[in-house]
Amino acid sequence: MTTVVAENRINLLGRGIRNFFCGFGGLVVFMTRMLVSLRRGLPRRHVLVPILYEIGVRSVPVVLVTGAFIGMVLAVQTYTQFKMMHMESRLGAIITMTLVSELGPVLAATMLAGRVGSAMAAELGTMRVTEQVHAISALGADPVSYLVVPRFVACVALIPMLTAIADAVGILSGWLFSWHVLGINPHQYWMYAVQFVTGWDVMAGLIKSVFFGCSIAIVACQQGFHCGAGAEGVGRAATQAFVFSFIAILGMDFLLTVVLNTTYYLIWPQAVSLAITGAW
Amino acid sequence: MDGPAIEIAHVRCVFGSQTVLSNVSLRISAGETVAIVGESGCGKSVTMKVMMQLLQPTSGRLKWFGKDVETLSAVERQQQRLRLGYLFQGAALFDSLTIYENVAFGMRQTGLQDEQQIRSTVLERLEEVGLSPDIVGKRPSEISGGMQKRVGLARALALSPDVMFYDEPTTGLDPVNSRRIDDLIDSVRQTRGVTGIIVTHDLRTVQRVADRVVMLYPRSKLQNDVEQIIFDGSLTELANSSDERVHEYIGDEFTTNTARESDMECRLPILKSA
Repeated sequence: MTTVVAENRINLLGRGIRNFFCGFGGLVVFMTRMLVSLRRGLPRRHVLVPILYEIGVRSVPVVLVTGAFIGMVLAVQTYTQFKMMHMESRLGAIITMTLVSELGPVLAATMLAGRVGSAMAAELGTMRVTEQVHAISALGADPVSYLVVPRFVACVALIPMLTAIADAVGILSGWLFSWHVLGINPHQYWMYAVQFVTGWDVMAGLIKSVFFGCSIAIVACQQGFHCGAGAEGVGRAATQAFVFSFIAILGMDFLLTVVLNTTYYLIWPQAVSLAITGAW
Repeated sequence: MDGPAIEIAHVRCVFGSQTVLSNVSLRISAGETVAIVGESGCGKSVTMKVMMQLLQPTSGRLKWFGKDVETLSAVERQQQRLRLGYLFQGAALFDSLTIYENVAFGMRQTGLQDEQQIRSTVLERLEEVGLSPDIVGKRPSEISGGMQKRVGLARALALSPDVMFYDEPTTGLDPVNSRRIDDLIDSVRQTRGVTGIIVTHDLRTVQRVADRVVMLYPRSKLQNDVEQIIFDGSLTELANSSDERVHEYIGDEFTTNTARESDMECRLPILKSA
């Protein structure tokens, strides 16, 4: 009996590992197909523009709202801690730094994965279930070129802009809240914000966002293209698109932070001593 | 056209643990209209999708117009594929595009015609399938199922294919629309000399349009070494088949002559009104 249970567990573990590698392999194959299609040329304007509008313009409100609240939440959360150390005047630095290097890119990407990634997976999944993807092939077109490439291009091109919007709105809302509610001197807020946040931090955040955009587009389109039959399959594809994109965003955030920090200290070694001795 | 239009040899299709097709071979000659029939789940649609290369078989060979598809370059394959048209079971019109854009889709993708030529072809094809040009601005969801099928047919015909695949063309349609679709299939063959391959459960469609009938039997009900195609012949041979499985499928009422005659009577008013 014990041997059977152990065997079942080993089977389950083995199946889980196999499914993980099969899924990852499928994602790599799909990405390669997409890159090969992208090499053949950019999508036509009449195909790309509506997707740019759907992914970019229609995501702006949700990014504005999220960015604004996060800026204010950061101000509220950090104020108490900083006040205990009599450093509340430096609130601008921590809000700006956190938003530009971490929260802005991650939040914009999360919003995009939730709003656009799920929708893309559901749309492509429905097209697959209703044989529209096959119809594209039957009419002599490549479904990956027609459906995936424009979505990939739109995600990659627009996510840095959405991130910049989230950063800007978060910093502004943090400033307004700090000034009007917490009584922080606006001059000090901006002075410390400018002093502690470098161009590299802004660039690092935007570079991260490009990778996040790639992963959202690839994961969502792959889920849609390989969704199961019927409404259940489409629903599962939409959910998995968000879950897997989100995991990919967080995993990539960690890796990119390590890589970008290492690169930064390789380029500017003197920054290490500053970081250790403390610029505060 | 020399040789068979479409040929599959020793095709095997396995999905997960289920074998749908095993060692299926079929030659479709140019100009003929072949109906593939059989009970649900026997692999009719899979066979047709393999012929169109919408599904990759687990093993087996596929030839288009005498050329092995595997040996064709990507460009050649694309060119050959444009000689094949496909009417999907649910029409598979693109929801986000208008009727005009749907019919124009294939022509726009090939890039061989300017917008003026595309427009005139779209209107011609819609007229050919009996649809008014007024619907060009509508979305697929705004027209009936029968009209969607006809738009699907117009879209497939827009590229002037040499071979047309029809996947359950009359399923879900009322008798009037079913007859209309059958007439269109027949008319496409008569006027354009297009080779037709039809997957259907509707024996009236078979009687009206097919020259040859191929019957598939579910793999799961057969012994390993038994041929999956249990019948391949004319309508008369089908009606006179002594195979019990064939007889069970077609029933006692299936006769070729009465079907053709009654069909002509039904068809005349429709043709006149068209």
